[in-house]
Amino acid sequence: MNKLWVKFLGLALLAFAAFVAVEWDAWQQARLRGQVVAAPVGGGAIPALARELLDAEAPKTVIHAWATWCPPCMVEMPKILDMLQKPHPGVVFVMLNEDDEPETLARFLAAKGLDKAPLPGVRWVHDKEQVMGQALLPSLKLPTTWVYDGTGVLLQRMDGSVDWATFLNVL
Amino acid sequence: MTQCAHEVLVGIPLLLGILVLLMILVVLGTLAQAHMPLYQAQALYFNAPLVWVAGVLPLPGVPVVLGLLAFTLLLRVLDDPLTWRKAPVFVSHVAVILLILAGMANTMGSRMGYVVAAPGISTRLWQKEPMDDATPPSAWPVLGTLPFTVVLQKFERVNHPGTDVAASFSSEVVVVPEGAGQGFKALISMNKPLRYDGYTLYQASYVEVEPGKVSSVLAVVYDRSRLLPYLATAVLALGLLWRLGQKMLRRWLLLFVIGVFLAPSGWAEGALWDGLAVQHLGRLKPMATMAGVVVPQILGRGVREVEAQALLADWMMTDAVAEGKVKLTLGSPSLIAKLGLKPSPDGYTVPELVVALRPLAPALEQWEVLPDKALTVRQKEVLELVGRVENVLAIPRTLVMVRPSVMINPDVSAAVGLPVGLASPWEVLSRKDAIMAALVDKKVSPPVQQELVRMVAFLKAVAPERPNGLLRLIPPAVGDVWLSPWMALREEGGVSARQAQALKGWGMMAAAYPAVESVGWLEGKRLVCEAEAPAVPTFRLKLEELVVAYPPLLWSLLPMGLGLLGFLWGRMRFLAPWVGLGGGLLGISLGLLSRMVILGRPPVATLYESVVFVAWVVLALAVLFGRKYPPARVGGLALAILLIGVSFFLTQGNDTMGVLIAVLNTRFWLGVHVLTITAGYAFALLVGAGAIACLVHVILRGRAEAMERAQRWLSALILAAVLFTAVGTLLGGVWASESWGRFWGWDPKENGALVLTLWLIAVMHIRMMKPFPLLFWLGSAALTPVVVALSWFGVNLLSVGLHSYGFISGVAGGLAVFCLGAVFLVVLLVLGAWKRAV
Repeated sequence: MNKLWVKFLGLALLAFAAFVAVEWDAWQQARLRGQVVAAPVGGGAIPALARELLDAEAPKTVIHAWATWCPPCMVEMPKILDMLQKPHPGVVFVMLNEDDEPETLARFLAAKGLDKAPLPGVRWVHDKEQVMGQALLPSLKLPTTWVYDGTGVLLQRMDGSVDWATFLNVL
Repeated sequence: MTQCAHEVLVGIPLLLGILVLLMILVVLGTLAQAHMPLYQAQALYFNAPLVWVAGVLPLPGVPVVLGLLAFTLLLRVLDDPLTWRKAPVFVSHVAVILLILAGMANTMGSRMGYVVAAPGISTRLWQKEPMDDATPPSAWPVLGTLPFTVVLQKFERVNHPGTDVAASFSSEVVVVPEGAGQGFKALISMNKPLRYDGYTLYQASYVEVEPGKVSSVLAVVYDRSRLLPYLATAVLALGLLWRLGQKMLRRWLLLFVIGVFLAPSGWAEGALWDGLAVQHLGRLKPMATMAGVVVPQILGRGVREVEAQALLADWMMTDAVAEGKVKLTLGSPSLIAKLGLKPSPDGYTVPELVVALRPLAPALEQWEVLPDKALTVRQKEVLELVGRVENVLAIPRTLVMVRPSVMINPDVSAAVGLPVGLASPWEVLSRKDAIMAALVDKKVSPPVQQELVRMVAFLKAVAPERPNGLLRLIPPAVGDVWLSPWMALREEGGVSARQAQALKGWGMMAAAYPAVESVGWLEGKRLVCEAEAPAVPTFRLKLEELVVAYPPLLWSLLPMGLGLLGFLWGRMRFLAPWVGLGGGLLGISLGLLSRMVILGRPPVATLYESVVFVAWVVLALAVLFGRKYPPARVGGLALAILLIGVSFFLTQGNDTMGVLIAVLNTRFWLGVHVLTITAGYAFALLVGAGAIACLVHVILRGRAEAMERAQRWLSALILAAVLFTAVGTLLGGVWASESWGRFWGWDPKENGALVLTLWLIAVMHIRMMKPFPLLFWLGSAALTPVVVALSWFGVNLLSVGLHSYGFISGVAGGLAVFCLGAVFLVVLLVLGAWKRAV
């Protein structure tokens, strides 16, 4: 039995077994797809009242609801502004200000120097009466962030502060 | 030149060097986990190509060393001629190469993250674990997006009956593939992951984002290579078993029998409380067991079984607690000082403690809501004392409602229709309407009216603010959550007939106990037992009472001790093994079997159980190997006595049969893993005992050559130890992979098992060195128990990691003494043997 080919046959067998092991899940899951039960999930389209926030040109729109009086929003705001300094191709950001007086928002933008040097691809929208905010989410709590695609289908909603560095990377 | 390099590369010394280096790295990385988070220790010690020890000494990192190991093994595999004799070695070596390759593929190709699914909200966000626990789920770092959307439909958490310990979680989700208008429903529960599109979704845990809003946390792993380690494990097991079979073909069958056992198919003096059941910490158990747990815990000191049962009766059915007859011992002087108490060796009465604790009440409210980690040792001590005091106060309250305590005089009796004499508040309450009518209508005379008002005031005074659930004595009308008398009386829809009978029975017992009236006691007990009967597994309960009264493990020490003594004495040599091994094996078998019956699961889920199980395996092996290799008998007996002794230190009170936390419950792979690895520990301990016996043999006889057979047996034992520890450790990986989605996580306990495996592999290969260094081999084999002790108990001292079932303190001193003593003994023996041989 002391033959080289026996040794290599053994190794080849093992390699084949390893190949099967690696591909096993793919085969199993092909079977699983056959057992799919139809179950539609609704509530994906953007509400008509907030439709104007969407940029039909851009593949993705990020809507971020915030306010100057909301502590967690203001904690993460410097980070957001810092991250938005550089352009994010294909992504439009809508900073939806809720419930603040127009002067407060203007003062905030001036303080950050954003009135003179606007950020690329970022729109600041003032929503004093929370019309659009409530349309997006009736029980709105700040901060909340949505990601919509160009056709207005909701891709992701995040309730609360976000780890912006990694989030924007993934976008 | 190349020839020379080749020699070095395939040589045993290099292999030993690699193994020792790996052990050092693993130990360093494990110790580091005590003072830094796991991911950091992992990055510094296990994933880095270069490790700086103490910042100055550079060592090659784990990936480099493993790569070198795979390379030398590959050379070995290609070099060695393949014959039938060498085939198992070939297979084992190939398996190790495959394992290392699988590890590399896993490190490079797999990604693990979490999906936090809030009910009804679709998400595809794949997030990493946050750096600290305080980060809300939305702010966890984002790893990527999944190619499908997950919507949580329903999250369920099921507790063990009557406790807050989770028995299982599950999430019902809808998965919608990208771009599809439809999805499919799937149920993800603990240990039942969903595999889809190359991703595996496991139920990890849950977070309560705001009160009442629970989000399910799913671990999501993308890993194409996840089955490779399984394959490597199977091949390694095959190779080592084959090799073992070659070494001892005759014992093959016996090993097979042990193997079959390893595949899990799946258990006082009771006169006072005899036959009565109570639900405590999620498990139905005899009152005797409960007394043995609760009474020492409250008193803060050890109490004999019989005494504990009598004390519980005193506390429940007399006014001993309120009268200050119960004295709680406080162990820590700092606690005594903090409470402003005078040192007192007898302890402190409950009223004294209540007064002493009162000024701390505002602080206590704050501490109680803090997580365990945030508390200082001092605060924990106070909270623990508060728990003890609350428990001792809860006990007499338990039966207040059913204990006859309200005097009914003939006038009152006539007015409300209760019999004359003592009545229980419960009976009085059942006539509530009549009492109210008598008071409102004013048809009764003023003295009677006064008496009635006094009764109502008394009833208000005995009612506690909230029903306590410590002593759940009353069987439920439906379901499996037992109730305390208070809870039963507060149930909506009133008590059922059976519950009423049980309550009445307890009332009779409570009336009879202070009066020392045995007829009433027995009659009450009969009523309770009868009412409980349908809800109680009578056989299990009886068995447990029997086991509590006559602990088989304790009794097994007697024949084993006698056997060992007889052996040492010398004249009884023929009898000793039979008495010691037979009696010990019988006792431990009975103990383990009864546990299996009572608990309905394999007896290896807690540290205590696994120690007892190892003792059983050691004895069984000593019986098997004893005929051909007599030193195994003495070694086995001594080890078993030691282990059973150790096991008594691992119990807390007398109830060693706690419920298991969710992830440990009912898992096939877990059962196989723990049984295999504990058998591995047993073999490793026997290796040590056998090696010491060999060393003594050399010293006594002076001729090493004559022990050819003993050496063969020892090397077979080492091989068996390698087989069981290596395969057992890898099976642990299989289990972890099945339930958490990662095969290996550098958890301290995993590392401990790995170090032991590496050690045994090193010892095994020393025998292949030329010339054969016999004393070096025996010496390192004799040190194996030290490695076992450190990797088995020692890692528990770190108190970090996932194997939290066995965190213990207070054994550190014993462990250190054992290890130093053993090292000293082995060094002495090796020196003696060396002198003798020269």
